[in-house]
Amino acid sequence: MTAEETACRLVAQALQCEPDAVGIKDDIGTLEGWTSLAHMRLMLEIEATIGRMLAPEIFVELTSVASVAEILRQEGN
Amino acid sequence: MRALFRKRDAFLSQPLATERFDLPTLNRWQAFRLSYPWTRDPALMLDLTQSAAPRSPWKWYKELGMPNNRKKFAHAIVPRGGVPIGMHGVRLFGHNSALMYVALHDRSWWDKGVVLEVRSRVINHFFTSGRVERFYAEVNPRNAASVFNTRRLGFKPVGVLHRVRQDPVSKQVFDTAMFELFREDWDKTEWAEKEA
Repeated sequence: MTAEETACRLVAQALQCEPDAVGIKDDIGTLEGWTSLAHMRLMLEIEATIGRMLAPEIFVELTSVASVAEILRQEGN
Repeated sequence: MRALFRKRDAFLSQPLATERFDLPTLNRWQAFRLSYPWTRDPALMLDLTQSAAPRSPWKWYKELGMPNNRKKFAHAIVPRGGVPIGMHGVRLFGHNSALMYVALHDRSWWDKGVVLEVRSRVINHFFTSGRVERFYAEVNPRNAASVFNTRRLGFKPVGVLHRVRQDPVSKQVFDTAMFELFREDWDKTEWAEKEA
């Protein structure tokens, strides 16, 4: 599974929607279910996947599916 | 003494309204009465101030910086026909800049888009005044809800200060993420109210 596919899956899990509903070009403004609670779930999902806490500099940049994929790529997932 | 007789800003201290909420302007006493009960809610205080320590009434009065409607403003957040569920504050500082804070003490309203709805109205109002060209916000980067609301409104991160605050109760140490939003960037967002 590529970083992009994993990112779409993680965002879908956090937003509690079907994976097909999330695309790599989506972001915080295009997905209706991306709420504050979903954002917290996404942070926890990413941290569980990479096995450590996100640095604050990275967390504040987390605004799109592509940014999730970038984090996963940097972490080798 | 002279400060007591300075005129309030008639425009910025106007009551506001959104689709779901009335936002009446608060004076010092009203803001204190609304916010002091928060000091008995450690989780809320930790999110808002990174300290769950109890406060005396006087200490809280000084710490929050109660509104004077000249440089410090606060609006209650009141659902139509209901009771206040929180408060939104703005303090003017520096060069055409303003700092914002918000707290919702009624948890049944969390994750229902209240902050986005209220804050976007307040930002529009302050930018329209001409007294503010830049908003600034400090957020605990582990507070996902605050980070979400800040980014969703178009604020850009400008840096992180590390290990700047410690909760005297839990001894937990917090970082602070800094964000800013300029008027010209706001005008490009979906939230900007277009002038007729």
